[in-house]
Amino acid sequence: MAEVVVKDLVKRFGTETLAVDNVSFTVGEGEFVTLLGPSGCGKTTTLRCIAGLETPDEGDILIADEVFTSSHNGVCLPPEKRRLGMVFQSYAIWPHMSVSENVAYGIQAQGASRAEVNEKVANALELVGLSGLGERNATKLSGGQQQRVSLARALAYNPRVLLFDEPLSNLDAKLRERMRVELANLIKELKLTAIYVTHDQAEAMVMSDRIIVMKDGRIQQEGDPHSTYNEPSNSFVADFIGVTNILEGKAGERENGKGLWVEVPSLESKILCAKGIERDIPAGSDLLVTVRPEYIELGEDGSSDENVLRGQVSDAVYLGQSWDCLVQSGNFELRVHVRGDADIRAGQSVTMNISPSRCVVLSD
Amino acid sequence: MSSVSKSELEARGDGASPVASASTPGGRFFNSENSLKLGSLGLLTILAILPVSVFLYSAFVTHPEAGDSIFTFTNFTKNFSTSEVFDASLNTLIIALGTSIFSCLTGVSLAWFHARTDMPFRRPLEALTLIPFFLSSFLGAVAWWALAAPRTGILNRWMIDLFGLSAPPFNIYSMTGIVMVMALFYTPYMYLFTIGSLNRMDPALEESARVCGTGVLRTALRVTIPLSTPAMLSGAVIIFVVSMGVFGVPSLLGPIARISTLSTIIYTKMEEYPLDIGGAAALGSVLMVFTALGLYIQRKIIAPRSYVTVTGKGYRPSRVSLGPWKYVALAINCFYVLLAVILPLGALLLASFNRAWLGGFRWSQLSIYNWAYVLFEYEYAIQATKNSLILGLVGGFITVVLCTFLAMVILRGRNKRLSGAVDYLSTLPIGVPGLIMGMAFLITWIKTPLYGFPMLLLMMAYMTRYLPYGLRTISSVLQSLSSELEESARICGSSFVATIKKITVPLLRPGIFAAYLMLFIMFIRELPVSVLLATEDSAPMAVALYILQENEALGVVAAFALVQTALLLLGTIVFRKLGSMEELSV
Repeated sequence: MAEVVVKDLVKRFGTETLAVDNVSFTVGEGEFVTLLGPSGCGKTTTLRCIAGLETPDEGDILIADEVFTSSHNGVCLPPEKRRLGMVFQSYAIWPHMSVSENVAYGIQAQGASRAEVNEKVANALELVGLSGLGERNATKLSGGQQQRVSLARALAYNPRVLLFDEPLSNLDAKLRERMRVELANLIKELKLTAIYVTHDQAEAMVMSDRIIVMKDGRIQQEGDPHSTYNEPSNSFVADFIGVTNILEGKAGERENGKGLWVEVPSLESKILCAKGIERDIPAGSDLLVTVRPEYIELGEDGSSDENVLRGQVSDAVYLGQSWDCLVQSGNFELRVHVRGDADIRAGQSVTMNISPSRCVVLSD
Repeated sequence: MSSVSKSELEARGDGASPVASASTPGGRFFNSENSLKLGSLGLLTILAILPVSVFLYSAFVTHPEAGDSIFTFTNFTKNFSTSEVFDASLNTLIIALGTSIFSCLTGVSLAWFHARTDMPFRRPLEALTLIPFFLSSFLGAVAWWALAAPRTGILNRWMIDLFGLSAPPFNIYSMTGIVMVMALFYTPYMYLFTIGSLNRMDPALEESARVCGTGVLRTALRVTIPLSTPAMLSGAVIIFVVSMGVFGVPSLLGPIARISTLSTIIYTKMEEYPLDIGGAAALGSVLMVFTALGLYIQRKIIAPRSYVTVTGKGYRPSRVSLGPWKYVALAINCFYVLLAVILPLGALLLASFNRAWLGGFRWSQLSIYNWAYVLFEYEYAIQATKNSLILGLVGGFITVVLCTFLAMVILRGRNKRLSGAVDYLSTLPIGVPGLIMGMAFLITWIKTPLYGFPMLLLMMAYMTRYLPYGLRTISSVLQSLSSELEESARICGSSFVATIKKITVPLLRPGIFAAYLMLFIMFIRELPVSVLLATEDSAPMAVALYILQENEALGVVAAFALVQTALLLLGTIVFRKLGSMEELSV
């Protein structure tokens, strides 16, 4: 029943800054949704509005049909009445309490009996793998352990929804990667509804059921990780998530069942695009096309009918598992990723194939 | 990573600490938050704005003491045309300038030795260097009076006996004497102003200068010192302003050499016949304007330019190797400790154990009479000790509670405009010199029933005068506490009040202790506010010392001064112990 509904949310700071600009989305029960975007995109403010730490200027927030915030009738529940759990970037572990006391705080606030508190604390600590550390001073633990305490504290009192505000960004890279998987698995196992804020696209890809990409207070794209990566809706999303080539072109004719031909002057060529062409695109209009570097294949002449480009490798950097190459084709330098076992030299002439299904027409 | 969170905080703008914010817009809590803020504004108005207004008003009416209310400028024209006031103004400027220049030179050098160089014995010397901070310049003046008064001074006697001089070499009753005592006792302030920025400075800034080929001294002069310039300038300006208003040192060491300052003239006008409240208020208001101007320059022009050298990385302790020069540094530091700690306290100690002081310690005269006298017999001194303890413990406590309350009102909650007003009002007393605060309280309340409770009035005046200091200590701790610590408690289901009780106050405890200690020390040694306001029964220790010094033998004065010193040092130690027991790794 923990369906989160955010409707027409607006939050201004001062008279000029519009931090959140008409944001609407829903989160289904047991769903893991990530708000992804660069700093200042309004993702954290949105999360804080849901938590009740900010009062939105307009819009409604409902959880399981209970109105948390509504600008129409002036309702705004204080955070302690919302029964949510939140994990902060700074962990926000209370340094004057032991691990157990930190975890017990929320359960005690609900007026639970001592036995119940102890049981729930023990359960929560076990879930996050900190059994036996309850009596420790929380701030003497390592960063990763502190974040686990913070998670246990948020889980302990069965919150309706868990909110995460960049919880992993203070951890070192190795630990961060491990925690991603572990955290996502735990949330799934407990069938919890989660809203997760991050600026790290890899984190969003690994953990989420659905990603909401934000910029300047507005939602740019909403979808599962696969479609967000493979069919970005505009150049911001294409560029923010992963590495990509963005080509300027002019719409040509449609070829039934195959896609839209796009004239790309910088490549001195035409390419056939099969994605992002559902909308009406008048012939001759200016548009942008994106192609991911790893979808550009190096091949032999004549191995394919369409989207064959010729070029010369201008730079090739060996990364072990792959080559990161720049290939001069026409007046454009294409970024191309090639498998690490390929034989690539700078100056080499190459032929490239791109499957039309990998060529996405952007909406801007 | 952290840069992201920081810019997001900025993007969140003024809503960054909404612990008290979550409620219905225009609903119940919103009102109670505002009423707390309005209540604070009202309290501060009564404590600070009212007396200062009455004081300023007195400067512009003909006979304020008679209740006259004819607007006039005579108080200014009459007073500022006399050569006496002209000389006093000049003296005030010379003292302030001399104090800030010399304390800046010593304070900065000592801070640099301690923070940045390999000078030996840094640890013990740091504690010794800071001792004068816990005493007071007035206590210093009393001690140096015992050391270097022309006829009876211990140092003079020694020099005459040792070298067979015909005349005493030192004369503390001089401009040089006044400036020296002031500079010695304000050096630790300068030291504390700069040591923070020197400690926080990224060693890489200096290392890169060394790698570029500059030597130790050049690096210090071209990189280290310029980087701390804003902190130093801030300190120098504050010391300048504070020493303009200082009363104790010039009133003790000035009269014999006929050196008067604005503050000593104000005191005379308020205490001696014929009473001239209007004239005193006129001089005081000029002093206050200069103080406020200096502080304004410090806050608005100098402080904002401080270079941010904190990068958040853990620093390796990197020190400049001074080579043989480290012994020169050591000698300088020891000489400072000798002048500011060992000689003054030593002189007082010697004098206190001789019943009759004839300019030198004599074993045959060894006696604990003076100690027994001030501790058990001399009613006035005993009462003063009690008064100071009450003011320090009770007054300090009430002030610290008020400061904690105000810090939360200012830093938490969402009505930023009201918070700003509270912040502004509670900072204002910093611009009012102590003597003027005392005078303002006196003329405001003298005709009300409140004057019947002089201890209460003193407490109110102390509270007002020292509020900004306590507030700053607590605010800085509160600011360093991420508001997320409180927010997470709210989300866990605890209410606004419960969060303050269980999370905020416990986390603030180290700051509260530090503020209490500082206020205790300030209250125990307080002279300028009390000197006009205290009655004979309510005189605190510093006022009693002032009176004793005029009427009693040196031995009695010395013993009493040491009782005060002991209280100050004891207070420091006790609070340090309590504070470290509560130490938290926030």
